[in-house]
Amino acid sequence: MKILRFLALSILCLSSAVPSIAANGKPNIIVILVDDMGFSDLGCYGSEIPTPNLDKLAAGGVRLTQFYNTARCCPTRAALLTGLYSHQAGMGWMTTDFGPEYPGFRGRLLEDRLTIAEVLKPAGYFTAMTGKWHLGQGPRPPAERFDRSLQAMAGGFYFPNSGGKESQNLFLNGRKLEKGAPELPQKWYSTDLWTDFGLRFIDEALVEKKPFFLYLAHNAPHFPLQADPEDIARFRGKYKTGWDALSAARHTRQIELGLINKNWQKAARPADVKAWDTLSDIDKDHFDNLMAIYAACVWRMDRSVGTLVEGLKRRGVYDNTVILFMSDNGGNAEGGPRGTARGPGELGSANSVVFCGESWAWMQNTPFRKFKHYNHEGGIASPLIAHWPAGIKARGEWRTEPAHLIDIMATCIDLAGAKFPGEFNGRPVPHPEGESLRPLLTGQPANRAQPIFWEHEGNAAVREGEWKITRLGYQAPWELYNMTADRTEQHNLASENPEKTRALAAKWDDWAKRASVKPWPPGIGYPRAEGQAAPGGKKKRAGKKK
Amino acid sequence: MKRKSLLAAAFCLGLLVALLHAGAAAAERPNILIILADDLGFSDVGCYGGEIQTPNIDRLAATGVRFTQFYNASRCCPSRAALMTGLYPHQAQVGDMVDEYARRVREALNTPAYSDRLNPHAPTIAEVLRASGYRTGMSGKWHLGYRPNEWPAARGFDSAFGVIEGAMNYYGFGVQHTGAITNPPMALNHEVFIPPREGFFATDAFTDYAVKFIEETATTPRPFFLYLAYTAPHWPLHAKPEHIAKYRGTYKEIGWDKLREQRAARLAAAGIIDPRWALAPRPANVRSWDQAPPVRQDQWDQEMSIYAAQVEEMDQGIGRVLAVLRKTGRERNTLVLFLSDNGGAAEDPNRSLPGAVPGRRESYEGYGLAGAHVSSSPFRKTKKFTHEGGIAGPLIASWPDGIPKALHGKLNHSISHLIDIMPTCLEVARAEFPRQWNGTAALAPEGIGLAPAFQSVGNISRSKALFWEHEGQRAVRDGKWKLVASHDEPWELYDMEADRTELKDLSSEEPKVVTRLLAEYEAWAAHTGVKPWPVLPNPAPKPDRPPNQN
Repeated sequence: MKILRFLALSILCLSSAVPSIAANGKPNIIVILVDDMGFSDLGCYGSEIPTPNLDKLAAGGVRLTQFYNTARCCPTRAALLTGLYSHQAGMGWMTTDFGPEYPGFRGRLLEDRLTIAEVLKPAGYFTAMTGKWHLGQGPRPPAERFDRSLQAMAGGFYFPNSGGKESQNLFLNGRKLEKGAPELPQKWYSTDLWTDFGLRFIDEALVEKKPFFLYLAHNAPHFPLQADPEDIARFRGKYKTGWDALSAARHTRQIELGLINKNWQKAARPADVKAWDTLSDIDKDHFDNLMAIYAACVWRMDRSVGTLVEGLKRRGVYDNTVILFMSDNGGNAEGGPRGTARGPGELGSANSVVFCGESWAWMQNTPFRKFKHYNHEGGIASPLIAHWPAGIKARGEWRTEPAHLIDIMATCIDLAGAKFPGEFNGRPVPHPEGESLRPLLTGQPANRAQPIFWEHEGNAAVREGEWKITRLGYQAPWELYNMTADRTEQHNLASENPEKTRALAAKWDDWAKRASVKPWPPGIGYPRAEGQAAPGGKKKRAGKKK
Repeated sequence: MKRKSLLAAAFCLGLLVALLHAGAAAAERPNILIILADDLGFSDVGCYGGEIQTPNIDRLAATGVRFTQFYNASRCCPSRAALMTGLYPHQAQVGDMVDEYARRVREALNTPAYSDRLNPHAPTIAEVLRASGYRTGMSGKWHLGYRPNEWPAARGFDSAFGVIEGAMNYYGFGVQHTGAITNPPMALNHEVFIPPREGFFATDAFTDYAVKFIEETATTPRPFFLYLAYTAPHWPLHAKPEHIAKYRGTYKEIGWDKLREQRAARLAAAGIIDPRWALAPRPANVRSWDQAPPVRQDQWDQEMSIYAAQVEEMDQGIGRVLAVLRKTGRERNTLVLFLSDNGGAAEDPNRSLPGAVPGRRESYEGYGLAGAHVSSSPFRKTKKFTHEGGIAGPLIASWPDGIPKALHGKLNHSISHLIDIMPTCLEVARAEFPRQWNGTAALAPEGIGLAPAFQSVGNISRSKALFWEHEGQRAVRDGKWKLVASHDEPWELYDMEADRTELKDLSSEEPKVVTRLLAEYEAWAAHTGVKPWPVLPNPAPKPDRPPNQN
């Protein structure tokens, strides 16, 4: 049997020049997207948080060192599902419509932009999604785009009673699930719910004898961070080591793992984040609590990946299922250096609002600069784990070529043998921008033809080969970095190499025009959106009484 | 046969229309120019008792009518919302501020009356007048929504230029109210506008754009509607050195106590206020002028001279706008309305960079309560309050062809409000208010037209009371009675005929009036969606840490 399979493989190799991909039926595809998780938060990317299940997938597949997202929830989801740059899908920002003068910012996935599900369905796939949608309230919700769906429109909860609510906005195949709906277990935790329903939908696919595509979009570990007390307890006290020491430890492990170049200078602690040693014991305890809650969310997410893998094995579809795992943006500094910790409930419980804040986000994004929202590496660099026993021969290897979310659509089309329809209701639609990652995953040379582009809230970037330009906001000057020598963006070469800067900036301008990117309307978005003080400080009056 | 009679009928109808049109042409629809000043107090300009030199605004008063009891909504956003829609702020869904700093309040209230943009189902004056054939333009401060589809260009203005936010560095690039050194959020039509680094000054730029708009519309037969919303004299205290120098030294010679007396005396002499009304006492946290040390007196002199220069710079801008009206032959048939959005602002933005020269780009200050209580004299309280010092402002209506000469320079004592501006515009433009807007029934203005005041000095009768609510401050004005309360404080009742400076609370003497007005207030609050001002949810106990701003 083994020999037969080997023979079949060899023949396939000869015929298609794709040496290590099996052809016994179309592969199943699972895309797992996690929310607001930093670059270094998985064990296999340097973290101290135990993530044995994802580490196992990494060890049994390949990991990318330079996989990119779009720096924010909504735009990432749009780019991932359509293979277009977010603005081309109408989701240049969040679910806010800027009006017809701003076609790239319509606050919803445009009706005629096709998702992976719609492209794979004609190729015989059973398509399903579970988890966070966050692509607006457009005319075609997930229930119209996927065969099966259980989704939260915008996330924001972990428990049935999160935020003191009676029930959450959950939709099963387009139908709102009210409190006590029989389809839902009495008690649930969102991370497990998405996974359980994912497996249920897979069962339906298997009954129909179809290959499946599952888009599993976790809301973990996005704020409000919530987890079971026993899971938080698992980590409580472990973070009193502090962000300085833990970030350094992550950095060391990343070097040992071969993930990063030891010559890159690690991004320094941001100016407004205090040195851990200078904190009071009360503060240390408080911050330990925040990070323990975050770690519990990540840990539970990893455990659910274990449940999924186990489920695939039990159903006998593990070998020919492609799992692609990624995060939607970098660690989140919203809430400022102190984070957010509001009750009224115990922090981390359903009735609390916890953000880790900038201090821990800096560690989460080790070794990079900046955070979610930004187009520096801390905002856009994500883990990517690709696992496919039947198709990827490599085990535990790194792939170092740059790739981006827009490549996932092209990859799925490639793996599924699908064809992009090119039209919707008789009208032509834009063709996906990305490139298939198949060569990269299978150890073939990848020759990316186009640069990768970013724009979010005026922050912007271009990555072409070893060069990257990036800027902080629409009105800031471009910075230039050589990513081979300095991926941590410590040495701005813009003034040394103005030609390169100008050339890449010109490419960005062309792309912006083509992709409906417009100058960012000031006064909206981050960082002004977070923690902005009302005008009216205390004025020092000359000769004030007392 | 049938066809012939139809044709004949059509011909007759056409003739009728033509005749009517000819009649209308005899009195062409006027151009309308609304000039809104920002944080300008009741008694700042010359024709309202001020010592600041405002010859152009005074000339408007001399060729028109001044209202003595005109009210605003006590704060930037709510006032602008009421002005644009003729609705109470909460109906226009701008119950509080649209800015990010008010987000937690909006979230706590969680009701449409407190949103971060103007109600899309409430048409603006510009939308209504444009639909009736006007060419519409805006220059200046918007402050009714940050997203491009909430900008003036998306709310009925054919041409729009200005600042989207409520305050800006007058020099453009520089320190802003957040403390950041950047450009203010500005827009030109649908696009982001970045002011030039040098040579930009907000008051001049807004004037320039208004002048350009008036010049451009000169060649079209359509009347225009122009909304010129200066940021002056809102903080930061930014003005040109030569204008500041003109006033420097004059304020410390008078001092705030005497200045208020002088303003009150001039207002009384002009008949704008009743001499029997006592001057409101100095606020408890402002000391008497004589007790202020010289260094503070000098600082106040500097603050006031910059403020005065800001007002004068606006006045000069208005002069340029009036000149271009004259030049294009439209001065006589343009209704100019000059007004302010709230009383003097007792606010201290206090964002100056180290070593900043007052009045320059690097400075960012306000004139605080010491200045604001003067601007709002003779009344009690300032911006944000619903006592007269917060909500009483000037309204000048000038229209050489539309207001008979006999009324020029006269006063009108009608109780009036920003919500009356939309109906007034509709009256003079003979425009219809739409039934439908954006797919739902349009929210019709709550106010009344003020055009009768352009024909007679008599008071316009109001069948309904006027109401206010801003951040817990409330008020009702019904005839001579005013019921008013500050946040978390008991209601006070005043007889405005005898005591408009609100010094003798009659609430215990006139409990029936209180009960009646209170009931009216409650009904109005329910009608407009006003909610009790929220106590923000307490954060969880936070050991030794500052208040969280998230």
